[in-house]
Amino acid sequence: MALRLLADPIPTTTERSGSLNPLEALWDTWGARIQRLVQRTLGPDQGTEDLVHEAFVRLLQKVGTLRDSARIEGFVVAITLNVVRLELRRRKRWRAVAPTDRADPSISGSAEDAVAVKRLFVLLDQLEPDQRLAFTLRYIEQLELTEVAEAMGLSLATAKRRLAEAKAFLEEKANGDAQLHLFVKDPHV
Amino acid sequence: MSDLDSPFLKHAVDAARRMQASPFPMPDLEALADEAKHRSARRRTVTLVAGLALAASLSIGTWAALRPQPVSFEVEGLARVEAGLVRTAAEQSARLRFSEGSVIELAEVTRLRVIDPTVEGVHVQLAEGRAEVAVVHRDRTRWTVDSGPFTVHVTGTRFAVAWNLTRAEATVELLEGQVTIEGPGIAPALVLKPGQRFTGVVRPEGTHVEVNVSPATQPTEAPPPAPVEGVGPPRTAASPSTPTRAPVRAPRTPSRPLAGGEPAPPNTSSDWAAWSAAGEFERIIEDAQSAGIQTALRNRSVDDLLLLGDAARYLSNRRLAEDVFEAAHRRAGRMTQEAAVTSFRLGQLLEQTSPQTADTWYRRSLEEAPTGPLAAEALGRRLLMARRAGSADAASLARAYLSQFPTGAAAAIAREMLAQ
Repeated sequence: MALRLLADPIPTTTERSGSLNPLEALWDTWGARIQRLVQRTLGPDQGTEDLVHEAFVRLLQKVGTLRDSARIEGFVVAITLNVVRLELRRRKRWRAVAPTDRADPSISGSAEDAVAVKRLFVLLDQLEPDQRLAFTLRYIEQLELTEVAEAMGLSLATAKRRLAEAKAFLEEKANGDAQLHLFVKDPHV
Repeated sequence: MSDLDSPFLKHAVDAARRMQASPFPMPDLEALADEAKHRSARRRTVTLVAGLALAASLSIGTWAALRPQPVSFEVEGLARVEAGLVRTAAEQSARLRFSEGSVIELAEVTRLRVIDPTVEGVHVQLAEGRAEVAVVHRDRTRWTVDSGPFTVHVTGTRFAVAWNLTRAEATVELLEGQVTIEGPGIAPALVLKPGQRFTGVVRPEGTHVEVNVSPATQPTEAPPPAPVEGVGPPRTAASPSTPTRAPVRAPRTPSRPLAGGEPAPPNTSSDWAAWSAAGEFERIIEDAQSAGIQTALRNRSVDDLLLLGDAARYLSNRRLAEDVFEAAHRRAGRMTQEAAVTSFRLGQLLEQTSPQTADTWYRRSLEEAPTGPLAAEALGRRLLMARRAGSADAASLARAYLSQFPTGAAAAIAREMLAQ
């Protein structure tokens, strides 16, 4: 069954990863990318593993429709972002009825970094999903604006608008965020 | 990149970028694949219901806007592309990827024109050189490949085709599936089977055509064919004037006698060949099942078992394909072309899931027919597998390949490997 799902479009992936099992090759090649994308857009929360698996299942479902294997990276990113977007909408609905505090992120680095990342994702939680995705893809994933637009399936103008909205909101909130001021050094000081 | 004004926001973003979460362990991939399969099945059901509703409401104008798009293609590798004509120079190769999944690999010094990419298929013309064509089977796909004055009609299959402009000679080597060939001197059309090689030579006078089919059961050193005068009936083994060549369209008989008392299969061999040519693979399997698969494995000819195995493979029924090819291999004589073809098929079938076993089958295919029509392909597959696995044998395989098939499809890869 897996072989059928991973029919013709995948040989470049298989060759790239060096694995001869197409299912493993697909995971070897794209699993880490999906994980990074999910965690950089949602934050290093618990529960992201399920979303990574969900994105991978959707990739297996749709990879047979990919006509040009050279476009597989964009294909993987788009599928993953759709999963993330749905999750953001779901969380937004739940926060409206049952607000919860964000768990401490389990990340490597200094205590200062941990606070900064936690506060950043608290602020990101207040954005609309498309604003948040545009911001994280542009500044954390460091994609070009055109790549952000393509990955999100938006026009360049709309992607720019979503990014500007997110940036304006976050700049204002970050400058007024007491925890960030308390724990994060101001490089200008 | 960062044009953020707030130093606090910039710090937070930089920290988020640096965060290195532990990679998740590899999940149960088979379970995820099963989930994908079940969802696709559910979606097909929903799509069918939704499709019926949609069909009732769509206007003709809307349908026109939604109709399938023509096939397009992209060119990879070193080649010049001008208005549908793709050409490679010496020591260059290129790959044409078509939007419906088919692929054409061009060898060096080759010119190929894509004439008519439509919704239903593609018409390409090989003006010079050699190409390996892998056409993906679709229900209504119609592919035609012109090689000089000869036309190869394809459903879903893989074959190598060449047109030598200087010698006015066309060759078609069928690797999988089935094709029919039309052209001067061929009436009715030839049906080519896996392992067979067609050669058509147009003589200078323009009215003399030599057609030769080297079947899988024939030694490769068969004497060259005599020219056929005019545009007469095809020079095939069915013709009494060429008794050394195997039948192309003549009814086939089982390679081994039927077991005593076994009922004869309900359909003739030619039914399966015709169904295969028409892409009706489900029909072949249903027919085999109606008589009993074990009966078919015992009684059908090796040629038929290859058709059945290919049908199972095209429909992703890997287990049935493996059973059928193994039975075909047992039925084929030792060290025959038939045995080599079935060994090759088993290699192909197992390449993804059991590479070591696949390599053994490819090696056996080479031992069974070291100069057969699939020898280059078998050695090429061994070479590519060794390269992917980083095997220590890769270099020696590359040297062996270049020594035996210096102009083969994998020659460029072999040279690249040895140059590294």
